[in-house]
Amino acid sequence: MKKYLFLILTVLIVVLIILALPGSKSFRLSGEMILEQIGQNTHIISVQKFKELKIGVQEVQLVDLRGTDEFNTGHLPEAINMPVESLSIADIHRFFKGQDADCVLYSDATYLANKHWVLFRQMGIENIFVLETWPALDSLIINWDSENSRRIMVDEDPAFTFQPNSALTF
Amino acid sequence: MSSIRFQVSAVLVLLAGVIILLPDARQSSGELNVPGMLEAMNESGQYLSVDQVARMVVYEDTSILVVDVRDQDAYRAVHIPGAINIPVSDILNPDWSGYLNDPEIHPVFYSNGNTLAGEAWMLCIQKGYSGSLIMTGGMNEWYRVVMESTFTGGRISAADNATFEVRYRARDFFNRMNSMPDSMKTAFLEVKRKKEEELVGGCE
Repeated sequence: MKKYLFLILTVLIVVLIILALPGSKSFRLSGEMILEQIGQNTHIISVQKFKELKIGVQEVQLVDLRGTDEFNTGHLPEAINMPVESLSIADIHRFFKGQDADCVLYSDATYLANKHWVLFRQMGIENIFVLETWPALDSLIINWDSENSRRIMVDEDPAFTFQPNSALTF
Repeated sequence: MSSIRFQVSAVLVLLAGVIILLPDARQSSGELNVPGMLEAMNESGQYLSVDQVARMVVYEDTSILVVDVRDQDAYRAVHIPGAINIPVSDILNPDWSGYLNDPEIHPVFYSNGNTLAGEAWMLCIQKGYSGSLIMTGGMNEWYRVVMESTFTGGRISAADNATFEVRYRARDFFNRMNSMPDSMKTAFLEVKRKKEEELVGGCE
């Protein structure tokens, strides 16, 4: 009888360990919840909005997701580097835990930073945003001070108009 | 007696250790978890260029399915021939999994730019739909490269010639398909297919 009790206790401990495990690996937010947040369309902010936030009471911190070499060649003012490709999940959690301010992510292109935004949000990290850097990050780095006219989601603006051709014969 | 107890518990603890240390990139339901996603995002080969997609559209490649993730109005106004419309807001609807989760067909997402297509890709990959692809640059790039580019220069190389041939045919196909009322599109596709079968021909 005592033997069985011991066995059951061991199995219980094992089950508890396995249950506690997914905390760091699985997502806190499901795809549906992310979709809801995407629908609100507040995660991508323009350069102008960012500057307004920076002047206001809210603390904001730019986070550069590119590699260390690219970061050292040139980056936006007061940005800090997080080379996301070479970091582990624990590193990423530790990085965001050490940040008091709201983090604004940027990368070579808006959609690259946006992909990481989806991942980080699903890992349970809050108060993060994406900076709209369209069309090119290099020119934004050079013209940062004079850049005030950018809007949100420029990347998705159609740059074409289709004219149906009624003269075509089939 | 106590040695058996000890052995059994030792085996169980070992088993638990092995389970924990197993590099599992998937949850039991087939969905990816955080390490799996990080790995998938760093993989190359998730992007197709506009020229690659144009070639697949012109030759009616059945290994891909072009998916327009913009809203319905944008899709109705103009879309790449053969594309189906699944707005991002509806992408997790299980009704679409027949299209998106087919192991033999790669869905190729596109929007006007890259942002919406990237979001659709993220949501599908983590759902366990491996094989999803993105058309880089979206419709804006398609217009710039396929619809508006012309060859400038002296002599055209064989590779350039092939590229421009495909672009020209894609442009023609795109214009004809989008100029047509919906009711005529299926009939047009049938005629196109028959004409091409005649062209291929063969010896008897």
